[in-house]
Amino acid sequence: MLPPNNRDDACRPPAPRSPLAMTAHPIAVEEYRPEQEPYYHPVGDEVALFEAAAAGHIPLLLKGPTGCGKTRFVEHMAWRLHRPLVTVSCHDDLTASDLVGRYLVKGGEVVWVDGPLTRAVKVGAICYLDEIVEARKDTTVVIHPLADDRRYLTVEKTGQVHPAHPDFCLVISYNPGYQSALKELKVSTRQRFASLAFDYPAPAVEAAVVAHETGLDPARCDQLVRLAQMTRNLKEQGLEEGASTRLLVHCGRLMVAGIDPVRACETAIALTLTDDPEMVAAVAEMVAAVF
Amino acid sequence: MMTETCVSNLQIGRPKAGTTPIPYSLSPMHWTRAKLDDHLSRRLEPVLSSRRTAAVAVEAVWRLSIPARGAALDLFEIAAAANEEIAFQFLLHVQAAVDRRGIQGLQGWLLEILDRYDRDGMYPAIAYLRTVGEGEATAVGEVALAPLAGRLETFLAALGGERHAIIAGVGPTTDGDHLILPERFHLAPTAEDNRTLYRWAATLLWAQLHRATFRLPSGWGDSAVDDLGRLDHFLSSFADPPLAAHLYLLAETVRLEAALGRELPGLARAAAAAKGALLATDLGRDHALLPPRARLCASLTRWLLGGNPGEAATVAHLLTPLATDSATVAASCAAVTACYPHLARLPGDGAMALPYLAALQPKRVAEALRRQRQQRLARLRVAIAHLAAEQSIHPPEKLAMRARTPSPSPTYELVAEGRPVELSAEVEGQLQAVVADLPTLPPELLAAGGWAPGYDPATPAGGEPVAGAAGDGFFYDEWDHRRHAYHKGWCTVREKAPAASPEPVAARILAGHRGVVRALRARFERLRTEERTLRRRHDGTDIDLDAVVEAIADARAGVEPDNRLFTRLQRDERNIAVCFLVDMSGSTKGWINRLQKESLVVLCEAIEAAGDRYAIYGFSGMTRLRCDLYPIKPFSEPYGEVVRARIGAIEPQDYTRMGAAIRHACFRLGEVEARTRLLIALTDGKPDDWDHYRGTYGIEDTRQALIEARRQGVHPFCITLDRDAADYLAHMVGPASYCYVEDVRTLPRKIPEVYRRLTR
Repeated sequence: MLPPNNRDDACRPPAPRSPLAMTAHPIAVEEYRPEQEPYYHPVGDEVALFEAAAAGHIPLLLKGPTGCGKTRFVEHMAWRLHRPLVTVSCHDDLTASDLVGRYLVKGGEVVWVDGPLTRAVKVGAICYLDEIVEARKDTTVVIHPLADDRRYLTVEKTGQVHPAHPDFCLVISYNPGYQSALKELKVSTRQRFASLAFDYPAPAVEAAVVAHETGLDPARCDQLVRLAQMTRNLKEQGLEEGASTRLLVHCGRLMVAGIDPVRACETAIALTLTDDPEMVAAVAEMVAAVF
Repeated sequence: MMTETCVSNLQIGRPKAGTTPIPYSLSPMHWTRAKLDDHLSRRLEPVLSSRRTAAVAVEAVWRLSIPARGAALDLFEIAAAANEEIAFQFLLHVQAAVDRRGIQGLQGWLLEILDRYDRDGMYPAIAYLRTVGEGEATAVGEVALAPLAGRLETFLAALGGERHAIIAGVGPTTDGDHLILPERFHLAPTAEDNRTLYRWAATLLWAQLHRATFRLPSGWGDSAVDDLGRLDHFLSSFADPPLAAHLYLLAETVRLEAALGRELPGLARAAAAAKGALLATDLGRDHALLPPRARLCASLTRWLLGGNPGEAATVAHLLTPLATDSATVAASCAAVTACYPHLARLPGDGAMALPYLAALQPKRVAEALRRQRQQRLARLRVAIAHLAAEQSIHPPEKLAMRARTPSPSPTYELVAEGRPVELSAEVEGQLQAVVADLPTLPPELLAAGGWAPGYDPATPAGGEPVAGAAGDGFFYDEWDHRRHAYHKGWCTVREKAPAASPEPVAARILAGHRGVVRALRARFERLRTEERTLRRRHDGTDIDLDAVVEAIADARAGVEPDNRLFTRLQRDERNIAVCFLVDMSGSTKGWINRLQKESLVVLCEAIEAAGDRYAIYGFSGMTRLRCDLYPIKPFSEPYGEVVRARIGAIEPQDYTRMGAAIRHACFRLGEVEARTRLLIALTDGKPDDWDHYRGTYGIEDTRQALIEARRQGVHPFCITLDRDAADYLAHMVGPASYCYVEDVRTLPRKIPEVYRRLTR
């Protein structure tokens, strides 16, 4: 059996909010549901769109750079819609049976164990496939019948077809920033989804998010956001990617813990963004200018 | 998958501590005069004659203080490596330079001279060198622009907008394209403060370009001209335009400094400290003897530096509101109008510059910004035309633009028949840049048909010419370890069509190595993308029935069963692009050349079996202006008879300028889409070229080129045949991984083996 997906979500606030953190023992994937409202600051009509899509059985594709709040948004929506949330972080070795299920040998007998996708289909959860392009191409085909109006899951090995629970909702995410010809979604996959584009929020909103997540004083949050924007301007000019909101939250938490702002930025931002000593020095100069 | 295992299995050069030995046994400052004479005579021999001896230079050096002598002789070696005449002149003028700039300033001075030498040649460089005694003596703490410029450009790029090049000139000012900063800054007494003032001045110039200093709203200047032309009109409308321009610069500086202070408090704090240091200099004093208007200007400058405005209190009071958050460029114009009479009625000349900003150049900037605006629009048009073709929007007249969000700050989107068109991030960025730059959107852009190609014949549709592609060559920088700086655009690399051999050399080689090739092909084919089922895994897609049966049997028999009961489908995707660089220098003559050919033929067969993308470039050349690369097999060309004929025709040529070859190979690799990019250089010895590219210089440049390759995400690897490799190789290819092949005869088998290990 796959371990319950307790991926360490960086955006999760320090206070233990998830049921996993509150109960000491693990729970089944399909039992995970956010009990308290995960903080999410809407920047547009994405909440209404998600609700409409979920009601209309339309699968969703979330795209946007890393650390801008895609995962948090899904957690928030799971809470809002009172549905369990099954998250699968895709990696390049993820196979169809990792999603659907497999036979296991238990005490001399062969037992079928459902994978996270099958469980989500059965109980009517939101199934969130994070960074779907990382998964093997053949894997994505498994979700095709679920993502159109058939809404069922075929399990070849057991010879069964599972019709999806009415509450089942498929959400996938990908980051178009990693532009590589090999990491593109197939058109046939893409066209089954409605797409929501995410980006880093407007400065004021981002500062509010950082303030909420860290408890840092607003002036410092503004500075952090300004620094982040400066690094984002250097994308493709020495940096692969600018500082994400998640990085800012990390940095803010270090500051709240009493670390000097310049040192915190160096640790959480400059050295994280690049290994090139020249760029580390450049980012350090920006830090010195902003703080 | 990288190289440790690989290296450990092959002969490895043992790294040697330290870099290069200093060419002196005793520190040169302690040399006797005779030894000095001997050394300089030898070093300067090419430029000396019976009438021109080293004696003058010896005399000049001998008169220096001991520490200055040490520094001068160290730097002399750098100069002599570039040009003996310059080195000779350097010594003749070194005393004057020490007087003006101090011993610490000598190195900066020589760098300036050598930069001119690289750019303009020997005579301009010497003319510049001779000016050292002229002008004011240099203050302590002077800093040069050259070492700061790169970092400053990055910093400003981070602030946003298009990247501006920083150039040296009369300034600080901007022409709309570049930021022009003086070559040296010595306003404040300490180097730290001068560096801060450089940064602050550059940031202010950036702010001028990006915070609307040159773009007046309607109502100021002549409303009939566009927003970029209004500033010039506005300033000319005063009786004394230079005074108005000065006041406008002052007002804008107050406004922009306050705005930057809110955005970059850290930098503003440092700038305030540096300005405080300026106050302690002459600038802070009261100039009672100046004519009244100049005195008022001096007081205003003092106020700008954070001092007491004194008699300028009234004017300063009028300028103070510009420091508030809500102040716009219109407020600056209003302030100029209000302040102008206070100065204009005073007698005297009033066009006095600010200490760290030179006068604005409204006309030049307006021209440049107008051109940029057109280019941006032209580029956007081209991008949108491509987009229309890609998404098959026919005819393109269907495209129109509309506001996505309502005023006051609307964002726009592109629509075709009322439905939004999906834009790539790049086009989206271009679109928003055009919109942000235009004061009001021309109605024709909003109308359907406004985006049809060829709609506006006045706008050039091609965008800018590609920089650096002049002629048929590629220009690359070269690293000079002595200067610790690059020679800009130093090497010209050309791709020359390789010869093709009419003889069936490759076929003969293949025939001779049939066995090796067959074995290699078999091994390499296994590397191909393929699915294979791995058995007996702890975790997997399916149950391994054999294993289960065995495990159950074991359990029944009371033996502990093996719990690896699964099969897993393994799919290895190879996504590799590799570029081989083959040394074609004169030293490869003879059997090395023959073995190189054999190796390449065998290698091609092997890589073809693995199915990777690869290129083979031969390199040779003479001098920096003729670095030739021979595309024996470019990435785009399939392996076949032509390539084989070219391999057969590989002949030793001239010299080995490795740095340029590596840089060009990286450029070619960068054009290929691949997860792993490999650069494998095959060389028989040290980098060596005719014009000083030997010894430490060549080694250090090669090393730097390999470091650059790493930075670009290319994995460099060197294979060398040099038996003396151990003493420099570890240092030179330290950034890469390497191996050296002791028995050259094994080369054809070794290279594919190295490649297989690297990519496995």
